[in-house]
Amino acid sequence: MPSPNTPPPNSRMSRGVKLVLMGVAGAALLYSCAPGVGAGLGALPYLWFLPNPFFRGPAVSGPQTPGSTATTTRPGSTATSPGATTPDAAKATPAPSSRGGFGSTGSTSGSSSSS
Amino acid sequence: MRREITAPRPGWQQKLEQLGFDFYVLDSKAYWTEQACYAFTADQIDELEASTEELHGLCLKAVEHVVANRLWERMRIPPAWGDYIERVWRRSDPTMAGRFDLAYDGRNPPKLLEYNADTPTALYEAAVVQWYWLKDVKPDADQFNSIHEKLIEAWRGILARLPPEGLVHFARFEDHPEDLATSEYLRDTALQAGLAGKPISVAQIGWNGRRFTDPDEMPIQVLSKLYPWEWMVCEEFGVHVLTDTTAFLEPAWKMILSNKMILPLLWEGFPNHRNLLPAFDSEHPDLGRAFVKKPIFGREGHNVTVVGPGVFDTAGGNYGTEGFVWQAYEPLPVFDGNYALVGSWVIDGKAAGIGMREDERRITHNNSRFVPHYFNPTGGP
Repeated sequence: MPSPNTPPPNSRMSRGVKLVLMGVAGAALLYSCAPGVGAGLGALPYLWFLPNPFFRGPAVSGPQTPGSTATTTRPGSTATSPGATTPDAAKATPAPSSRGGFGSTGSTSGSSSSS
Repeated sequence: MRREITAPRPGWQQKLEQLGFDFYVLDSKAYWTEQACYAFTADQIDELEASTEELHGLCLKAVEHVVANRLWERMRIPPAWGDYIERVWRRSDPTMAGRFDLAYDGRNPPKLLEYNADTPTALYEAAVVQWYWLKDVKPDADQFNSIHEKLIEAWRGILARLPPEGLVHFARFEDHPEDLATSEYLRDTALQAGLAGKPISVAQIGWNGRRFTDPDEMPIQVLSKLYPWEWMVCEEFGVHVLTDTTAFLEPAWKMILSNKMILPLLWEGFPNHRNLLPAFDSEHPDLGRAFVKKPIFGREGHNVTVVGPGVFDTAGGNYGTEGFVWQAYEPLPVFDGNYALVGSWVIDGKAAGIGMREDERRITHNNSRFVPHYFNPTGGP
């Protein structure tokens, strides 16, 4: 049958309840303020070795971090990409980021980014 | 296919707001209406689904043609980006969503007007809001709508390709309610698939000399962006994309499909295809007596002009500096004085559902009304 199946009610319900409780804007605010969402991962040095996860490059040994037992073997985690750091380079503390390098067109065009 | 007048649900505004859909009025005009709906037969839905899959297949062949022949100049894509686009295309960087805009009257084959392949919106309305309308108003009918399920399925596929700490950042302009809703809905489906998702605004994206970062200086591994590639290419940080240290959704090869130059390319590659309209990169006799002039990089109907015997409509805007394409004019069907457009969704390469838009004008724009639809799975509407 080419027409779509009726979605399982449970999956719809979970979304419905969440959105009812928070609303989209409320969800945005909640998640943007939630320290648990990804917070602290940037302090893990080995994250800086992870390339674009869709990159398929030559496999190399990943860096060992204190407390780690093995290099990860998940896709993308054992490859280098053209922009991946080397272990020596990763020892250096990354410089604070500059921001605002994206968004100038959208903020001056007067229209949304949608299509 | 027909347009039915329906009674709005009692308290319909509250029902919409309870779903988080709070922009049912845009620029003081109704954006969502349930005073009407569109009804299809099962055969018509079958045709829309098959045509959508067919068109997406043609588009993938067109991307390969552009990449293999390095048609960057024709596509108005800086040649320096060619190698990067080829790389992400060859390794099959995943895609989540795109939306074909189709002219369809229920009798003749759907015709492709354009492919919103990079930053498609009206996603939440199509996937969720009209679904709840169906359950309330036409509980015994069906709807061409498996968008939500296919999004979650697509995220699960991406999850399988990420490292254990895989996190997706979602960047958008938060002062545009439709952009915010689309991005938040995508994040919601990612969360339901088991991913972690972190929202940021486009302007918060940072560059530390090696990586794109978020405001907490976390590296951005995967960025779901609701910001056009053709804008990113020209901006200060655009050159850093070429380091290929961050994966983007939509991937850069979608830059080829969201570009109106794809319309002449498709017509050259598949002339007289039943789902295509004659299209050229200059005025051409085969356009016939009526044509539509579209900016190569254009959005929301801006700078589109319709010209023909007794027909003229034009929309203002700031697009067109890169040039235009010309496409034969296929009138949208008119129901009760409304020009109706089918937005047909492609999720992870598969036809997933439709959203109907209508307007008093021939040119559909971002505020054109969204109207729910249904079909009777056992036969006629």
